[in-house]
Amino acid sequence: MKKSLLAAVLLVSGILAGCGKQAAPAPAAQTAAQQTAAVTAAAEETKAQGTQAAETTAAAPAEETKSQGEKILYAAASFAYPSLDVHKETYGWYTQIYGVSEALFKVGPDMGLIPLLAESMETEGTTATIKLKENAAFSNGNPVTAEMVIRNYQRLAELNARFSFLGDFDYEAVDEHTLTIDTHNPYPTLRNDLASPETGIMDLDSTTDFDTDPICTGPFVMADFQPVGDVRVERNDNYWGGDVKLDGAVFYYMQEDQPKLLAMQSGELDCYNSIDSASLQIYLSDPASYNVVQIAGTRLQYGILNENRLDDKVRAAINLIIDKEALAAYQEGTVVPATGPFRPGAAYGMVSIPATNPEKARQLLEEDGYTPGADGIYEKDGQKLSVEICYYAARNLDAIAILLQEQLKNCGIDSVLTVEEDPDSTYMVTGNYDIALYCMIADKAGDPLYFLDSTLSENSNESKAGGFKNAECQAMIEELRTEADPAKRAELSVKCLQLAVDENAYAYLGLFRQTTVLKPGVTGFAEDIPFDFYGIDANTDKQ
Amino acid sequence: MLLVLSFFSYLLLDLAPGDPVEKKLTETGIRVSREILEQERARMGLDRPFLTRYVLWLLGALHGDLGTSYKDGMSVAEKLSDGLKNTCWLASMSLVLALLVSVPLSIVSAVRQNTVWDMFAGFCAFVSNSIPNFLISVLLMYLFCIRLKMFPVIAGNTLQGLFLPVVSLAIPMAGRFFRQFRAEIIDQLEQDYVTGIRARGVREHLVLFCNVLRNAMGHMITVIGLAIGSLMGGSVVIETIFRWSGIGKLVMDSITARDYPVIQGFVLLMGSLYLVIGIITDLIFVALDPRTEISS
Repeated sequence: MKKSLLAAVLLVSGILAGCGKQAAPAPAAQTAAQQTAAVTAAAEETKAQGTQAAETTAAAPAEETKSQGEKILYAAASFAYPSLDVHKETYGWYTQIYGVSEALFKVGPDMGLIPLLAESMETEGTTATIKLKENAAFSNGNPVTAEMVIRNYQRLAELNARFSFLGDFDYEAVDEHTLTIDTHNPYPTLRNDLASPETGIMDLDSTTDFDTDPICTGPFVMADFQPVGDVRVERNDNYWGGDVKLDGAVFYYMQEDQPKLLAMQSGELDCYNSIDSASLQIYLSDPASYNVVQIAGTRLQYGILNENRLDDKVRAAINLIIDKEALAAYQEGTVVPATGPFRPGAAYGMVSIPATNPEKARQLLEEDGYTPGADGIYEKDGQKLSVEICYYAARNLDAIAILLQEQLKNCGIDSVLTVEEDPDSTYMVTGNYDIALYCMIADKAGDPLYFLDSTLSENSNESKAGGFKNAECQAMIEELRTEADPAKRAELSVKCLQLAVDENAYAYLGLFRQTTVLKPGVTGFAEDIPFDFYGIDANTDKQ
Repeated sequence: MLLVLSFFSYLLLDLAPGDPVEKKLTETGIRVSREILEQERARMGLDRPFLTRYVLWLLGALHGDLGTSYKDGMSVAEKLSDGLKNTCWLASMSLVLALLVSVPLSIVSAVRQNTVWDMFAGFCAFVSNSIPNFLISVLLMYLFCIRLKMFPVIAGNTLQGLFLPVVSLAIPMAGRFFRQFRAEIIDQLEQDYVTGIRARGVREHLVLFCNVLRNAMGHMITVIGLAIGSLMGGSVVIETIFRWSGIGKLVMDSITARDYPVIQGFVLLMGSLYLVIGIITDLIFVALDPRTEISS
């Protein structure tokens, strides 16, 4: 009995121990030879060092199917999606990052829109006429036609709720390379929306598996795709846009910062972005081995000052107390102090925000009837001045909350910190806060309407919860929906934002830097573009 | 019991703040309108009452259908199966390594109590048990991948990629096992029957391996059984750092994304596994110690 029991146990243990399948090797890179690279730093706004020639040794993992000497770029990706279908969810972001898909337009480094698959776009009234580039073609050689573009937009409208508006338009293929889009109402941001990665064009007739191998127009084609895993792409030998410098690329799905740092140090990675502050300091300290490119991005950290709970002078005082330089300094180079919600220099974000002035803040509080108590905290009618700061633990907002608490306390305002797991279901809709911290992409594609509509429009949950309601601002937002002139749009945006700034409805704190680290000799990893959805293209190179 | 477990986990998930639709549609930082969120909730069936959703899930589970992931639409059973297989590899190898290190060391340490060797081994066990997993992982990565260049940092789901995560898991586990096994063996060595055996002239190695160790085995099996249960739940930190596609990371990602079907499937799976492991452990205990009876 005992022996048979023991035998059964050993059998089960053996089964359990051996129950793992022999995992297939992950897509790996080939062994690279020792290289000498001359480093030239790509110039942008706040580019770091890196101009010395360096001898680097890359020791990438062995690749089973690629031969020696091929130019393969090894990058790390912080996100990985289960599908490459450009039109679903936000999967198109990574299909574009991998260099597989392209849209009609592309956002350039200066936030301007560059025609990519499109040759030109003219708008007359509510009808936009788009001419496609005659040589634009899919990776299988099929030409990109007007009809195929229309079918792509119709598919996108069906599959993606965020783009359902495309289904309301009328389309017509005038000829093989010309299409018209009738939006029925003035739609000044159509070109911007057609630069979104979700509007990438696929060959809907030839693609058999949209999730793992969509046929697109990009300089690369999918070679190996693991859902929510590593991705390997190869050069599209039929690329319509000319020569592609790389033979291929491998994107490793790596979520943690330390392994990415170690992989860069060991030479297994050539580049990646979204760098944490600790790794950034290491890269910056070794300019011979690493090129660090930093530009102001579009991801904004900001605070909403609740007009339903804080009076005007208190909100004004809070804004005068907040030291954005100190907040940015604590985040060690990953953030720039915000001068508005958009990137410095953006014409539609040139607002005037008062500089930090704690003394004036105190003066305002005292004018409001507050007097400093024995503990230094202001009081009025026997009540201490205490604000509730709500935040969620992401995008450094937890650190900002603590720093804000300290800054406010130094100027006589007490505070209580409340952390929520999900702000969009809690304080951002309920309005149960005095100061709400949040982080979002403020600029989707070089236009201010999205941000203004999301935060300042009287229909937005954010403004309802935060008590911001300004008829003049609302009128300007409505005008922005139809105004086509870029200069006028910028003017409206600035005026609208200035109203919010003057009302102290918001505290724009910091803008995340788009930070990319590259090995010497690696260029063209979209390090000069402030958006998260660009990666490799035909000009990406590795010396 | 599994029914109660599944109900309460479903309830807790429902009560927890956060919404799978918001998590899915806003993870890139782009705001989405309330109308779109409501549309998507309706499409995913999340606008139905809690009990309706639970009953539908339960009916599916009873027919072997654990549903599809909210995050990527893949079959929950398939995702859990893939994760569990990888975790099995990691768990079994790290357990074997931990036992290979801790059992002989604990025996030697127990026999040579309060010697320099015993103190040194105890100190090492204390340190290994105290250092957090993530720190051990990064240190090992630095040592073996950067300094010694014996392994690549990016290894993935291969045998080569298994070495460092196995060692990272085994080190603290070996420390825990060492302390517990040593204590049990010392306890057995102090029993009267050992004095009696020695008095009868039985050789020391026979005393140790045929008597003391055999009696200590029951406790050791219990400790190992608990460790297996814990290992099978996966180690999120290890799996994330070493990119090992195990079940721990899968579940942590699912919790973050509020992927209810995957979390429910995991709860059911782990509940069942713990039950099975508990039963097996008890049976082994009975087999090793005839004095123990399984009560009816």
